[in-house]
Amino acid sequence: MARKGDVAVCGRGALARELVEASQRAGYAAVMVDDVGRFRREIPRAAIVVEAWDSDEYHRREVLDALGHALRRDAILLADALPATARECASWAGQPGRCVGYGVVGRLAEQKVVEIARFSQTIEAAVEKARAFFGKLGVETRVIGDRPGLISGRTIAALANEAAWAVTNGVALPEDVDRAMELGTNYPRGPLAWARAIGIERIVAILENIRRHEGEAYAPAPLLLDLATHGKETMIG
Amino acid sequence: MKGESAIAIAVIGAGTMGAGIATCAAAAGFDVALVEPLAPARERAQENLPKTLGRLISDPAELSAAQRRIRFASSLAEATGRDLYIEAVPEDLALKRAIFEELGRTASPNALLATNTSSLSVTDLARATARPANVVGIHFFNPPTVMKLVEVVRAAQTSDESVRRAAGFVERLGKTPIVVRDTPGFVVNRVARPYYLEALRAIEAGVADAESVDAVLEGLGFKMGPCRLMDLIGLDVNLATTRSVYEATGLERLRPSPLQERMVAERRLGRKTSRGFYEYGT
Repeated sequence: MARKGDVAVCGRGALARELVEASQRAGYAAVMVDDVGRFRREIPRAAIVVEAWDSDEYHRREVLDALGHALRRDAILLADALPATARECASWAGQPGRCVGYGVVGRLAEQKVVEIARFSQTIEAAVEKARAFFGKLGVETRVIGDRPGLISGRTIAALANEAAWAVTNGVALPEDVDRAMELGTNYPRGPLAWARAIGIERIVAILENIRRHEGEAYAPAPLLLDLATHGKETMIG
Repeated sequence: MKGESAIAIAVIGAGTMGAGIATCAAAAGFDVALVEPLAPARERAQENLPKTLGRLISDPAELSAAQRRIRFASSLAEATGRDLYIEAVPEDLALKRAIFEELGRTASPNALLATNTSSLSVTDLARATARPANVVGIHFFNPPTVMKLVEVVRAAQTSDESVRRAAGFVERLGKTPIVVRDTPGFVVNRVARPYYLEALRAIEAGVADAESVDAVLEGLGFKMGPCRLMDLIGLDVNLATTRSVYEATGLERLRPSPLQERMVAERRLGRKTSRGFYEYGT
């Protein structure tokens, strides 16, 4: 049943690698496609195409457009619905019915439940295929309505942003904000350390997505923008 | 609290927070005067003391010694000469100001004057005393006997020495002091707002129900999803915190949720009314 090219994961980052490995462990013949030039050869072979390109919006539009063109007629396209909505991804791909959004904020291994995002034009069979795919990977799914950042991304990003604002406003030092949240609530990690582990750029991309749709209340705090542009080396560890 | 050896403190207010703070302090070896003008509240605290102290101390001899370290008083006049006063009365600005005004007159000049407020400005309270530099926030979390975190709140007038002494006291309780500037919600109550608000807004938007929101966030490693947690805390209590932070900051991103306001108006407060986001058997 499983044959080469069952699953094509498009991307080059850590999430794409994790998705390929998890698919292979689940028995899928999965390939990682990290070059748009290979789309025409690899994508038509796959029944499930997972997009995890992790780049700026301009580049993602091109990637999704190319994926949409190469997609087999009976295949589904799973698009990263945290930095853009499922509806946007589907429209860029030109595949309103068969493009389903999914949400993995950081590492797949650290997420027991993955959100599957659908909107008015999503075909029910595509949603079911997406759920079955994650199910085989050993991940529970929840189907939710398409909303910028979904629930997982919005919550983590908004917590990190509020923590960053608290630092920016001089309420406490960054390490003290994290420590206070770890001890005073039962969050698994401090919001700033969590954001760093996920990648500040990704947190900023989620906030920018919400801001684009809902306005300035979700503008990233200056501290996050600083860390995203300059802080990479110093924020490791 | 003269240096490391000072041990006489007074806790004002014997509600959940005040009694809990007094219990922690007695267990850590401090002599405590627990000041409560209302006889029923005082008697309730007195009755519960052996049980709550017993959770902190197992040795029977140590337990009875700790119990003897707490003295109950009905007025501040019966608790003079203390090194540290911790006010833990209800969040009523006039009531708290009156206490700080009295402490400014009656406490010794070196006494540290602390408030356990979570929603009022410590800077405003410090204005009520003759010794504003001695005023500091020592914000415990509920229940104080369990929660390891204490926010030490530096008001505009608080001296560095007062901050150091407050942090030293917290450490002697075996807890972790985090120094924060006096701003609405301090760190925890402010930074935690989005956890609740994003859940409420997702439900309002109709993209998911409470159970799905909780499942997604528990799947990310949160011990309790936001809806289950609001049901536990009480939606009214949770809304009051959001309101106080929102009203003090005016920040749009922290605006209270109409859904939560409606639920509170309908007395869907969570476990305590058997109905919140979930139903609870009575």
